[in-house]
Amino acid sequence: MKKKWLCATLAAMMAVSMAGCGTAPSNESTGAAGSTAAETTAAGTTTGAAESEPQTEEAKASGTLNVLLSEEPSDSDPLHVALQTWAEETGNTVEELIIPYDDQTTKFAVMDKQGDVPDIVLSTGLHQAHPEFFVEFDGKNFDTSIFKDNALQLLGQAYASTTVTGLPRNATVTCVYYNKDLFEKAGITVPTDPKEAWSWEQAAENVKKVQAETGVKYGMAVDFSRARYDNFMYSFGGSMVTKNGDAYEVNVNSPESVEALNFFIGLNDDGTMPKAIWANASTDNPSDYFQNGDVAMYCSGTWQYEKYKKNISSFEWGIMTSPVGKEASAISGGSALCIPKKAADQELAFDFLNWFYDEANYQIYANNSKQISTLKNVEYTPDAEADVENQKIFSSEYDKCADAYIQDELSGWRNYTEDGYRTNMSRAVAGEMTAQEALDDFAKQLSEASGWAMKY
Amino acid sequence: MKHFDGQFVWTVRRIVLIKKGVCKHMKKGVRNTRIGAFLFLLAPAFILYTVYFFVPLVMSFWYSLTDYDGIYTMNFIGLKNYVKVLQDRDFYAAMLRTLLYTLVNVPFKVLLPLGTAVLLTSKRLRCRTFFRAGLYIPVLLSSLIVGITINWMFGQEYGLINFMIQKLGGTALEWSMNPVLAETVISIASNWASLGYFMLIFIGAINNVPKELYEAASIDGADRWQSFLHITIPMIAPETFLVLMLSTNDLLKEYAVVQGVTRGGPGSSTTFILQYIYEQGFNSGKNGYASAISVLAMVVFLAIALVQFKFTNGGDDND
Repeated sequence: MKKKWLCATLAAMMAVSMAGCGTAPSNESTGAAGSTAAETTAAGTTTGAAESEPQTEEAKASGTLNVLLSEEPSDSDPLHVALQTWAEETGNTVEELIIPYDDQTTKFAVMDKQGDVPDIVLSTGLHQAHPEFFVEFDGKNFDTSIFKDNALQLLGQAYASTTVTGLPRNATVTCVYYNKDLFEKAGITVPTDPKEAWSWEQAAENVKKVQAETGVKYGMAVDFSRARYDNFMYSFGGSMVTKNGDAYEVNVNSPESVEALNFFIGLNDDGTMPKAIWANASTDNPSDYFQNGDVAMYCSGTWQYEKYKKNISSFEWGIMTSPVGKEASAISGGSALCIPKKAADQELAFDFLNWFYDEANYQIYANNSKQISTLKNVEYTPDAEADVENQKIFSSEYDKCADAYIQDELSGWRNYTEDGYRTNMSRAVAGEMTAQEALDDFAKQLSEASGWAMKY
Repeated sequence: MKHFDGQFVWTVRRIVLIKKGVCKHMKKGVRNTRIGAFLFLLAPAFILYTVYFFVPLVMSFWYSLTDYDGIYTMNFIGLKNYVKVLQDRDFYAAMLRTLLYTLVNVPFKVLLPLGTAVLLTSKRLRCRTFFRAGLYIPVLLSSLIVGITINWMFGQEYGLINFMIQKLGGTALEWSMNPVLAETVISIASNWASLGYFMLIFIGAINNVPKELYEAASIDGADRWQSFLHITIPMIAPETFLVLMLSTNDLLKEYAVVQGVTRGGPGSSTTFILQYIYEQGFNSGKNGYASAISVLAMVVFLAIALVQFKFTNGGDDND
């Protein structure tokens, strides 16, 4: 009898320990650290929505807004500050749930199936690839005419239709940072006026001269990001797709695109760029290279600006007007605030969005974030003279967004397949494939996935 | 010098086994009670196994017959995924890379812990507990942390090893860009992470070898090397087989360490089969296709395990 009780107790303890093995949501990501605010962070933590206790009567009256973000915000993060300010003014509370960008598609799909979704999602493409998960902003429930047309088209609209499922939060744009001290030492004047922009060949020649004169490790670095590379492609006159009547054709392996990739591979092969990054051989972040003073010129985006202002003190740095090819090019990105269809408190979500996009409140946000405004009547107004000059360069970069880029975005090609593109480029940089082979292979993948014909 | 007679060892081993053997003549009631208790205590593990292994296995097989994208699309397409996999050059490349990596590293995974265990069971070594604990610490780390730590040491630009090489007047090595060096770094990371675990298995096995055998061998004139070869190695055969099986399994499924060190690069030169499955399933959104790859990979791994069982006789002796 004693033995039976002992067995039963042991079995019960094991059963209880099994319950302990069950998952409270934890958001550790296996992805490598990215170089943009929108890209993967190495780990995230869960707070808020998935673990929230049942609302008390007081909490129901005041409301709890659950917001999904892609990385843990600092206390000074502009959106975090805006959320807290709204919460204080309205007597509500905010709970932030963190899921890294790369995990959002798969994890959000599971959350949607379970009906356990936040009230607001800060999305960088999720709402555009999967509009079926989100509330449509049709002009009646929210006045979308307040947004810049470009911003609404590129950041708010679904890839495959004109449905607006996200309200653009702020816009970012690619830009080129440079190490002023190194260029001065090499005796090279860097252009900041778009009319005086270098060509890519001139830029390459100049950074090589900086390498030779100053001994800096690398002349140029580019984020390991498809979007950052695409600037080269658009500059050289390439594109992902072209329009043939009403139908799209795959154009990624055009002669212009191949020329761009060959030029890019050349920069890696001759030591101008750190080859290990784009050969996918390193988890290093090129942003760290620039901050360490090991790179003369760094192709990234406006989201780095505030971080560099805080972190870089060992050398003078600035922003140059980006080099051009056959065309000028810039990639605009950003994020949008969306409301899932299955959100528990859509009313509260709309309440926050109406408050956030009020011009007075958004002006405060724009000045805090120092990013490009998405509202027609609001612009970031910097105080410092250096910031004013740099903001002008950002605006001029924004104006460079190529028509080919906008056409590609509206085609929704990324809905069909995307990852093979960067993988093939890595293999081309590593020497496993030629540029032509890499792009031909991806063109075939995109054609098979989308059903579009290949132009080449 | 007299040659040591190995026959003596097998005789002693039989005596030990008979002492450990289960009595054949239990009463039926007692036997039923014991079987009932056995099943009752086995139930939690069985339930865990079913829920976290068997059910996902069945689901994976089902997904492999569909075009599941990981979100909502799931249409039955029969064996199309399998046909596509068998025509996929990248699949064969990843599988071949994985098998070669396993073949090269299995000896290290077995011999290094064995050698370490022999050293740490030597009575001449002081502070054995300290060394055992120190060597076990990497086992407690997550594989991803291991990869990141090794990456910090062997990083091409800012790694500690290259820094030391350059300080000594040498040229920094291309740990990331050279495929051979990149794979070497992964091997180092993988062996470092698992050494402590397998070492403990061997320490337990070596400590369980009856001391009388060594005494008898010593009396018969055997030296240390002969004792090791003719007593230790045969007596720890089951544990050696266990380490062989576990290490082969770990190497075939190497993922987190690779992700932390090289991310599968340069190019695809360290993209092993699990990396490839992950890329297809999660990065490219082809869950159905990735499931088909993983089913085929499972078949290959199973074949390897069966071959190991066959050639090592499951770790049993041959009499």
